[in-house]
Formats: sequence, C-alpha cells, structure tokens
Amino acid sequence: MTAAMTPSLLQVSDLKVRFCTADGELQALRSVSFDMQPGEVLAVVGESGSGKTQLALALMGLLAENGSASGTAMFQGHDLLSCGQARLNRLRGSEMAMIFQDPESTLNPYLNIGRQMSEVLEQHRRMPHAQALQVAEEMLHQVRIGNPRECMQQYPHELSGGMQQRIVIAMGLLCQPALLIADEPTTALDVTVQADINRLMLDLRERYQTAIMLITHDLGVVAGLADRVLVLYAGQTMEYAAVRDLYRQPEHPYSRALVRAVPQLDSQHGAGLQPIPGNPPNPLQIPSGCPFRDRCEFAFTDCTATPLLRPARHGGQIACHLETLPE
Amino acid sequence: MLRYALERLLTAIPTLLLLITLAFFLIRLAPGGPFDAERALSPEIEQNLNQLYHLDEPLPLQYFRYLGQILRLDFGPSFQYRDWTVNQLIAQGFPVSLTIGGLALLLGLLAGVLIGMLAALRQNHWLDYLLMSLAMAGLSIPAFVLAPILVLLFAVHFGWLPAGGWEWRLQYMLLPILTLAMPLVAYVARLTRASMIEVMRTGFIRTARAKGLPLHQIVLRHAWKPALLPVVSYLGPAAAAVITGSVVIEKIFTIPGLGTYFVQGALNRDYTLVLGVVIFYGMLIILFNLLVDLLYAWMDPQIHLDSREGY
Repeated sequence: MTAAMTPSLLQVSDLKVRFCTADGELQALRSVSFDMQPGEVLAVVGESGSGKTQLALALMGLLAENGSASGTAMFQGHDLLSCGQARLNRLRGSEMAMIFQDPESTLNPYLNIGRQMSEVLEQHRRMPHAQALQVAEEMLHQVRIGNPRECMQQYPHELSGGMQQRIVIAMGLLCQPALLIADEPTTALDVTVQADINRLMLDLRERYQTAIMLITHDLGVVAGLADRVLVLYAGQTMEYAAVRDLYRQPEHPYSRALVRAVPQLDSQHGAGLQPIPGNPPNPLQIPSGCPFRDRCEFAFTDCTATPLLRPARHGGQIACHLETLPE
Repeated sequence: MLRYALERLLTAIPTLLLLITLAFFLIRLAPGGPFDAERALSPEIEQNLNQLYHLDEPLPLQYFRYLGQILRLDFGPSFQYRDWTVNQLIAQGFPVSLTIGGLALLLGLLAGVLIGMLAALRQNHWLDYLLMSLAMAGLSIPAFVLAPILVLLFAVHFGWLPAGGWEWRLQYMLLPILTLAMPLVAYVARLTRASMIEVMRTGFIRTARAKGLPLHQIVLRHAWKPALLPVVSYLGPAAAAVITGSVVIEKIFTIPGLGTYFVQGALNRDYTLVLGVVIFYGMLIILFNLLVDLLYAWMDPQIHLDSREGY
C-alpha cells in the first residue's frame, strides 16, 4: 500500500466469470475487485476451485470457449475484457505475460526452445531472427540456465521440469512486461526447485520492475514473496490485505483458517496444524449468503445474507458479517 | 536415420517373401489355368505350352524357380500378352497408374488438410457442419457409383470431358483423379479436423495465444505439425487405398494402367502377370511406409528412430 498515490497498473472491478456447462451455468468468479500497483507482488490465494486460475485466464483473454467474463479490467488504459483480439494480442506477451502451472504442457514439444523464445521478440519487437535468438539466449542466462546456447537447440522433452519452468519464465520476461501472472508456477516441481523458482521471480522483479500476480494455494509461499494478498473463496473475495496484516491479524474466519493450516517450523510435530473441516461448495449450486458459512465456526443468523466487501480494521477489505473475529 | 532405413529394408525381405509365397500358391488355388479357353486346345498343344512355361513341373519346383527369377528382378513372360514380359507390361502400365494415383493422393492430402483445418477453426459453425456433411457423403459414395455420376454430368451432359479412354492430357485424367481422390479428401478432412481440434485445446497452444501470436501464426508454426501427425500415419494405408482403388477406376474409365492389367491377368489366370503386379505393389507399399515413418520421425522430435540414440 506504499504506492497508493501512483496510478494503478491494473484495476479490476466487478469481474465475473461464468461457464455454460451441460449441468447448467457455473459461476467461477462472482464479482471480484482489486488493483495492482506497478512492481507490486499480489498473491491470489484460495483452495482448488476458488476461481483463482479463472481470474488469471480471464485477464489474459484465455478463458475456455464456453466461458465469458464481465466487469472491467483496466490495464495501461485498455479494458482487457472488452478491448478485442487485436489489442489483446499486442498486450499479451509484450506488456503482460503468464506462467502456467505445468511447464511440461506449456512448451511446444515440436519446436526447439530457441524458436519458441525468439518468436516473442519477432512478434512484439519486430526483431530480426538472429538478434531475437541472441536476446533470448541472454534471457536464459538471466534465469540461470547453465548452458543457454545448447539449451536453445533443445526440445522440451530433453529438459527437466525445473529447467522448463525457468524457460517459461524467461519467455514471459523477454519483452519486460509490466505484469507477470504466475499460476501456481511451482506446484508441479520438486520442493528443492520450488524455492529456487520463487527466488528467481523475486530477483527478476527487482531487476525489471515487473508486477507479479502470484496465484497459489500455499499461504506459506506467500509470506516471503507478496506485498498484498487477495483471499478468494468460491469465486468471491473474502479478504484483501497487506501480507503482514493478514498473517498477524486476519479478520476473516476463512483467512485465519488458512493461516493456521500452514505448517510452522517451531510448532511440535503435527501440533498446531489445523486443517479446515468440510469442502468448498459445489460451484454449480453455490448457496445464497456467505459461501463459507457451512464451514465457519462463527456462523450466525446474519450469514444467510451475502456479506458485502467492507473496509477492515487493518486497512484492507473483508466480506464478513462479524464485527470482530473472536479468538 | 540411415541405419534405421537400412534395417527396415532388411526386415522387409521376410515380409516380401511371405507375400510372394502366399500370392504364388493362392493364384494356383483358383480353378482353371492360363490356357483354358472357350475353344479347347488340343492336348498336344496344351502340353507343349505347359512345358514351355514349366507348368508341368511339380509345384514346389515351380515355386523355387520363380523365387530365383524374382531375385534377378525378372517377373517372367506374360501368359496372355504373348511377346510381352511382365516387366514390360509393368513399365508400360505403371507410369499411367502412378500419375493418376499420385495426383489423387496429392489432391486428397491438400484438399483434405485444408478442409479439415478450416472446419476445425470454425468448429460447430455452419461451415464446419457443411464441410463435415460433405465429407461424410464423400466417404459413403463408392467409386463405382461416383464415377458414372461424374461421367454423366461432365462427359454426357456438359460434354466438357471425355467419358473414358486415355491420352497424356489433363482432360483425360481429371475424372479418374477426382473419383479416386474423393474418399481420400473426405477421410483426411475428418482426420485433420479431429486432431486439429484436439491440438488447439492443448497447453502449448494456450501458451502461444498468451504470447500474443495471431491465429495464422499459431496454426502455421505451432499447430500444424502435431495436427498433421495422424494424417502422416494414414499415408501408408492411403497409398494402399489408392492402389486398390485404381484397379476399379482404371476399369471404369478404360485406362491402360497397371490396375487394368491386374484385373485382366486375374481373369485370364495369367499367373506371372498377377504375381508380378502383386509383388511390385507390395514392394511399393513397403517402401512408401518406410518413407512415411521417416517423415513422421522428422516431424516429431520426441521420436528417435535409432535405438542407440537413447530413450
């Protein structure tokens, strides 16, 4: 929140994502609003099915064919949701880039790495092929790939998952985008590689001033990386706060449950780790009122009405009827 | 790659041997013989003929004699086309069949891939439905129905094209090629559409879109290889289909190609001619399949042909 006076890089308001399925309409996102400052790291946190991936795909214009998004998402003066394919193609890969969950299915197995990287520069920077290859090679060096020249000639199946994800990150950063959306970039990787990739993203953010939207289900990762946190549940914002505040004094019961579900090093084995009982609601039939009320230990009569997002005491926002969260 | 090709050619030898053996004994199982005719020959003449062509020897001896011939790439004399060797007949008929078959295969691939891609990119759009209905019709109508319809239309009704016969000119080739290519176009179109739709849903196409590449680049750079792999593996069976199809079509359009000789040979029990054509086509299909596999490996970098290269 330090840069509150500078104009936002990304301003999302009332974003809704729906899918037409054979079983009826599925609401993946039900009114989500937030903003991102240049260079900021925003963590989007929630369980599987909370709509966090669909949020990223909607912003990138990559929703599945049966999906549609409404609302506005202002990015560098353009509404990403209504600006049309041609404008979107000028922004994607150039001003905004995305890293996907599974690096193995992200890279094209039929093209070598050099070709897949250079085409980004050729497309957006109108760079000649030879020069694009050179820049790409330098970028591979930046993401700490040992032998970039050899790597450029290789095909994805010849590389490890960690290498592939580094390449995907390098590919996303080629045009030095203002916004990098990373959808669980380390979930598919070994634990040792995870920390590496996370550190790499932070380094690159320092170097290129790239804002990062980090989508994750792991609050433990968020603590060290993010400036602010957006907690999603069943397609709705539960809490939106600076990361320090969310850890110290979460105001939403769901956020607190998430924080408590993170294993702590200093706690005894198994003790203190509190899983959240129950399951998220079926996205095809989300009950009216607060979607979390069935799993919430503090639910009371008001919770049958949908809570509106309101200012919280820590300066962020929450959607909860509770005045104060009991201990 | 070269090593693999050589290995494949070596393993083709037993396949070919099996083909020769089966063909040799199967044709002998057919009733009648090469010199049976309405007007019976006198026993002396028939005996002389049989002696001349070694048909009086025991079958195993004939078989090994024939194998020896094949090794010298000599298919022997034709029994019916006197003064012609089978090699000469093949040399005469094959260029015609190759021209028609090759052009039909080419047309089938080009048109099929184009239609399939278009349909896939317009999935569930009216154009997609139209193209796929036409493809279904193209698959369902057999050549011996399609050919007369085309002849009726373009030769009899409009008088634009000859109804049959052969000269080395385009108007004589058009209808046979069209008839031969039709089911191929239809099948390749359906194959391409299905695999293209699947490819367009993969993660790496999503990545290409996330990079801001326009659709034509996504198709031309990222999607075409994986989308065409099923078509490439269909090339082998497609070539075989063209060869068998040409037998029918050459008959309908009275084209002096290899197929016509094959049919005549089979009807006349012209043992050497039938065997020669069968073996020649067999070699052709084996060779073509090898080329297809090499092409496939070139397109898919995940395939390593030489087992020594690892994986």
